[in-house]
Amino acid sequence: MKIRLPLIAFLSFAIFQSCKFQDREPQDFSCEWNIEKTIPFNDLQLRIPSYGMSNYFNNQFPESQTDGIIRQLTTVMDTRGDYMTSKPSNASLKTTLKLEGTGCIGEKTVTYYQGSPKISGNTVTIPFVSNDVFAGEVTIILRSDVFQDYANGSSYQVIWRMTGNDPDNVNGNVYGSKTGFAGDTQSIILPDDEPVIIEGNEIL
Amino acid sequence: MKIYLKILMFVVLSISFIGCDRNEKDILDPNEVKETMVESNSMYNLMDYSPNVYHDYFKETNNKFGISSLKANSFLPYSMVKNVSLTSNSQNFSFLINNKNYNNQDLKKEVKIGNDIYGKTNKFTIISEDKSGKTSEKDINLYVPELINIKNPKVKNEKQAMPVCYSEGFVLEWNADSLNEEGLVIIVEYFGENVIPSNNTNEHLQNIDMIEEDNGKIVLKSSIFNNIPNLALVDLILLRGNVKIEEIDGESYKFYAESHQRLPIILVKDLSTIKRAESN
Repeated sequence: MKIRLPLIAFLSFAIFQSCKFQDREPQDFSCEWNIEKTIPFNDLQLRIPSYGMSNYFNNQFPESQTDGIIRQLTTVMDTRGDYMTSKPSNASLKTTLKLEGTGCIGEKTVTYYQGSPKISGNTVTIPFVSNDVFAGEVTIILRSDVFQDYANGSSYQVIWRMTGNDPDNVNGNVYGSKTGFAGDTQSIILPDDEPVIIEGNEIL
Repeated sequence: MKIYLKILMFVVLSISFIGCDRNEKDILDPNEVKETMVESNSMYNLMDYSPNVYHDYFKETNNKFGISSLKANSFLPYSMVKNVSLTSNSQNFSFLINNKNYNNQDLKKEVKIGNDIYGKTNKFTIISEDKSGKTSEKDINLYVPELINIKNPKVKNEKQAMPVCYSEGFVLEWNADSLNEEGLVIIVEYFGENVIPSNNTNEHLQNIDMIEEDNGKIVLKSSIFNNIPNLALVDLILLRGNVKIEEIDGESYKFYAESHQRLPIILVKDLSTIKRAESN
């Protein structure tokens, strides 16, 4: 009853108002991804994890020995790790743009790899639409190349994640997360002091 | 009202809606691939499997005026924007909340606003002027729930910026709002990223569920993690807000306000895939 009453009320209202509302037809609101937009990052400070980084990583990213902050996207994209260096870099930058405006509704995901001209120091250029203005969110996932953790016989990347609802003001001041893994056993490698949250409780 | 809210949430959340139709293509020279692309027609796929009541929410109104607040992660403050779209033939409009003018010259441009509308009933006002210069004023009262704040999983420090969470019996806690009668929306968004880079894909999934009672705690249904692989990087998105659609002088108006928080996590479905290493 709790659900039905407002549902009936809503449907009645919707029918009553039907002459005022227009159903959206998908073809009327499809996005025309035929232009590009450059997303600037506000206060881009990619913070290097302050724990567990290898000597090789610290040598590759001198910032880790100063203030621990990377201020260029290209620094992450262009820096090679020490894991399978003969293969293409695993560094990547994935953007997902979701639009919900008056002109169109849709989303597009683009993944850029090392050497992409769409990435500059503190901007990324992504597909955009010609039939709407920005109303929605953009999410960016930036991953470093893979580094070796010889002490544990595993590998790791650093991952930074950013989301913004203002295309001209995406906050780039974020902590990076070191994610260790063992590809051969398809496992995540966690430090002893990093908990796993199970049923709401932190388990070490 | 509950139905309105749900519908509104989804409109506001259009941000967050799913896509299943994807066209993948390389957009550079295939001999030198620097990027891959996936396109989705988001919201209409949601209509295929959502309760019909949500379908009604995609009806377009003549005018729309909404406030959206995003907390992108546990360390950042809220980012608030105003969304206005007008198809009215009236000459001039003014939008006010609690007698504070939220207009600017370009009504479609998003601007930052204050956070003084959350956790209370607000008076939304539209003042319109027709071609003859005659003005009319309409008031709408709308309760806007408290800004959302996820309390568990709790991010205590940078080391837990992306907490590792087991999917079964997943407990989610937030700041309850006893005055919110409309419930909340929970979304689990998967961008195709995995802890193990070779397992990355071009998938993009958003699994959605409703939380009926705003009492601050729920155990998530395991189905909300369907089709998301072990060790995936996902965002939990918790949203609440309110919406009201009114007819004013022969035109339909949609008013809404919402807030949502993203919590990036590492999703574990198989506990045996967690290995321990020495702390450095």
